Amino acid sequence: MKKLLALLLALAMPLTLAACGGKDDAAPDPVPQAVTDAPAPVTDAPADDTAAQAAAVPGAVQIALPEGDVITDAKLQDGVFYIGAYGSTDPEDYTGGMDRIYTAGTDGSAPALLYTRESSDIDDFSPSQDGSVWLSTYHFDLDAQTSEQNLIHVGADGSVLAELATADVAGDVIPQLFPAADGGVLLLSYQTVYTLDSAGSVIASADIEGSMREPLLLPDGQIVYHQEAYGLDGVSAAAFVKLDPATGAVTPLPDRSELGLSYASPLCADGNTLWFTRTGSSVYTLDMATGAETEMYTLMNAGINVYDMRTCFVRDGVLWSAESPASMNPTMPAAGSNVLTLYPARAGEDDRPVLTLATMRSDNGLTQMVTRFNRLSADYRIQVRDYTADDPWIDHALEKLNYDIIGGDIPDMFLLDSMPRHTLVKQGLLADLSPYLAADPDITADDYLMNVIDASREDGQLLGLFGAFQIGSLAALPGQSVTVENNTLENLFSLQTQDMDTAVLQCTDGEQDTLAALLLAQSPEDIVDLANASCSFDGVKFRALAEMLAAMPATEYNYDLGASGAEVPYRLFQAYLMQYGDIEFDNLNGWAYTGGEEPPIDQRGSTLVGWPTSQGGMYDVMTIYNFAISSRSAYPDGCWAFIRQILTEDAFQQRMLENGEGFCLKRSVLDAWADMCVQYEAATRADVDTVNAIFQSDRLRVDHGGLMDQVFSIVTEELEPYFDGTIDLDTAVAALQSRVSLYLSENS
Amino acid sequence: MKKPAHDRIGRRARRTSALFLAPSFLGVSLFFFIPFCVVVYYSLVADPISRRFVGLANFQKLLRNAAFLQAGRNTLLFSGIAVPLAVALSLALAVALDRSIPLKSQLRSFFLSPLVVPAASVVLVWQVIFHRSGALNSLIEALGGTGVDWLKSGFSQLVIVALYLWKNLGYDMVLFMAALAAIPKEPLEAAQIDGASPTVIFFRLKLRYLAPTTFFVTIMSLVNSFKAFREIYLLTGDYPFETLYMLQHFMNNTFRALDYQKLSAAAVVMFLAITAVIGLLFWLEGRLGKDLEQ
Repeated sequence: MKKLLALLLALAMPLTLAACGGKDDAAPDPVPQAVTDAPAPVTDAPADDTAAQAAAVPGAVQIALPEGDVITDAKLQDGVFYIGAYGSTDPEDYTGGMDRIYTAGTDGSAPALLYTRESSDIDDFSPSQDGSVWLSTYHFDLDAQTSEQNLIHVGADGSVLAELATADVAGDVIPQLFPAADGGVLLLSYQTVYTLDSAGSVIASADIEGSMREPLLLPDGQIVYHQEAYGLDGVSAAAFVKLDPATGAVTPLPDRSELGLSYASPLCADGNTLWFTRTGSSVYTLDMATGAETEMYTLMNAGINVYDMRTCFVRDGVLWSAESPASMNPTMPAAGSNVLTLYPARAGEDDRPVLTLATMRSDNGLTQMVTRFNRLSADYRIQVRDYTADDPWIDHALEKLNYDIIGGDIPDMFLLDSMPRHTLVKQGLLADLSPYLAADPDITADDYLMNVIDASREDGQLLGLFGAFQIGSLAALPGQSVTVENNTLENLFSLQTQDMDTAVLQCTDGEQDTLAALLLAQSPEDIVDLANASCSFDGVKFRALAEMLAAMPATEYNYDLGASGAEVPYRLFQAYLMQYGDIEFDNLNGWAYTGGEEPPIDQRGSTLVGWPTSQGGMYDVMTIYNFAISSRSAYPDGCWAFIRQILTEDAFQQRMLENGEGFCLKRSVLDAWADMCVQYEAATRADVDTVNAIFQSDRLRVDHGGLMDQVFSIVTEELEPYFDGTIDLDTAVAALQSRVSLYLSENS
Repeated sequence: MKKPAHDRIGRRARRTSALFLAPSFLGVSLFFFIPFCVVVYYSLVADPISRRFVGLANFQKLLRNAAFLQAGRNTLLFSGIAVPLAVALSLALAVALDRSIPLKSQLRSFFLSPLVVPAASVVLVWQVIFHRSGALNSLIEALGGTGVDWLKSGFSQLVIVALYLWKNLGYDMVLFMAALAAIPKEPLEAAQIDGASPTVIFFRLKLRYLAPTTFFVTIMSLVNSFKAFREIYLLTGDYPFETLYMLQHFMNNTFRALDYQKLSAAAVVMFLAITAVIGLLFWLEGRLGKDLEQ
């Protein structure tokens, strides 16, 4: 028995160290899939895309305002929608708010105009039970540099019942409005809640203790909000709190949730049930009497786009979302901005096969793509697995993904942004998308920047397809424009020494030459090949490099090199320039340099692109929304039907024009955007031509990350104390050599 | 023919004992034995996705991997130094505290206190002391010496051995104190009457009676030496200086890199090594304690 125990003890020890999965039978054998000529019919968006989406969702209702109106806000009171909109397309008229209020039923009947103003200065509004509406207006006079805030009470017939200056009631704040009894209104400022009667007289006020996040009016007239206390490591305590506006008394809601109520936001209330989200993604209900909490679903997977949600409500136990496309600039509205669509949450009630999509982030762009696909596709439904939904730490998210993969629960698709792409490739988990791209009847090579797509191939395989891309760049002062062909170190040094008052290259000519020679002698491929071949990282090269850098006077060395992998010497050089030069590094994601705040046209910096190498350099392409299909997916055609969405004109327009996420692959959209930038922004036709030439270059290199990411993170960590003078060169090089060797050996 | 009553009773007893053992057997099977079989299986395939059988290729590759060999050497060295030291020092402390000495109770609490300190706090204190700009180097430099990068040099193993001893001595000491108190008085008194010196009594009698406890303490110290990874990881991260790179680093990093086949092969190799060590310890314990049991 003793020996058996010993055996089990020995057995247990490595097992506690080796994480082994459980679900061994879940991975289906790969189903051979013929690439069909007709993928699922989710193609370029029709002219009226919102109508198509609404028509495809059973029960969805549309409320259409007149063409040209842009919906900005919506509120529901006693079964009537009050919709705030902006109605002019002239940028000169727009002052940042709404200029009209409509009323409409929830059945899609035609809305009625309740009230309009000449100026778009309505900041907030609150419908009352008697059909009247309180408005809060804010107007800033640019010439006089003064602001004016008012409260206006508009009757159910559109007449103005009362108007008063906000400052007379709530001081110099912009309050939030909530309905009070008998046509009155509640004004919530940071620390005080005021109750006004229908004539605007203050009948009660109460101070509020603590911070108030996202207040919501409950059916009983009390206000529920989220309160958080912060400790050294973030949120240390959180709760929903009920506020009685008349007395200011606050009562924490009971909480029996295991997770606690951190990162929570109230959505709406249904009787005694509070609906809320965690991290804006997962929906929960909370019984406000008992504190019992129930996890429902994630908004995206239930077909709700939280980024377009204006308000929500619960009907017969189902959450409904009132959505209209969000526009960054109401004077350039997105298609369908005049339509409010009511969508019911649909949590897995249909029979469509489910395609799982693994992601390490969830944002507006992804939400748009997924909800649109889920509404329009008759054949498949996407279920997003956001591994960072409840815990933003990437390491923890990767661990969860690993458990799923080893357990056989392999996602059908991956959004590769922030994922360890090289490990997925190494394990053969990514399918080649080339056959799908070639067979797609709607994708014609001439319409796309195939040169950029081809640059992302590895051994001829297209393992991911991206929705946007940026070009790694250096941004310098005006008058310096160097393209990749003459982007040599000498030119960069020259740029620093000759043309920049504040940039002094602190080394001699000889040192410059040696440094340049060192940098120019090594390509990233050389370094990786060398390291991999010998499994022993060559710290001598780093030592030499460090010696060169050490010869240059340093007072401080502090930089953030980011996570994207690149050539180590280049990055060291980059770090050097950032420290000692007046050159900025930013990704080129538009036709002119727009790093940080947009500089005035006369001070606009030029853009240097590419890597400084002896051949003149490579253009470093960073991809965004990089999707891949799992080689184990049973539904690769369905996955392609989703992924191909990112190539549609509609998707590109949304990402580029509205979200400003970088260049797109479709020529027509790119050209239209360039024309607009030349007409309205800082770009010149020469800028456009320069960047267009880059897209056609045979020197494009797509940065997939990989081994060098971790290597460079070690290099960064070790060189920092060296440069700040805490450790000597020998110590830095020894630590570097030791740690990088381990990493490379481990991965050999 | 009717079976004898003792047969029936024996069968019933066996059935009852099997019934009592079943939950444990199920638990061990479910959480240890079956997962281990899965690990062995993964160690023999090209990857868990294609599951192509590759025989011992993963083991061959693993045994040529410089990082694994380095981790194995470091782990062996660390356990080889830390475990005997922990056993010897805790026994010495237990013997010292077994006598009537002043502040006995306070000293016992002092040595036990590291057990209740959270790992994150321990690491913080250790960083303050052993960082290249830490307290120890400040003291050395104040005394005219030259500071050492304790966590990124040849001294780093010393630091973690010290950390391990600080954390674990108290627990081992309490086990030894309990064992010392349980030694029967008669043989000790008989030896004293026969004129044996305290040294002879300790080495010839007490130590023999302590053999099962020593064996248990050694096993627990070995287990705890693997647990020291938590502190090392918090101190130095995924890729520490090479002398601090343990097998757990290798496994942790390999898991993150989705290299399950390499990870599984490493787990199997580690299992074999630990089985061999524990087998050796059992053999030693049998040899040392057999005559006392008789």
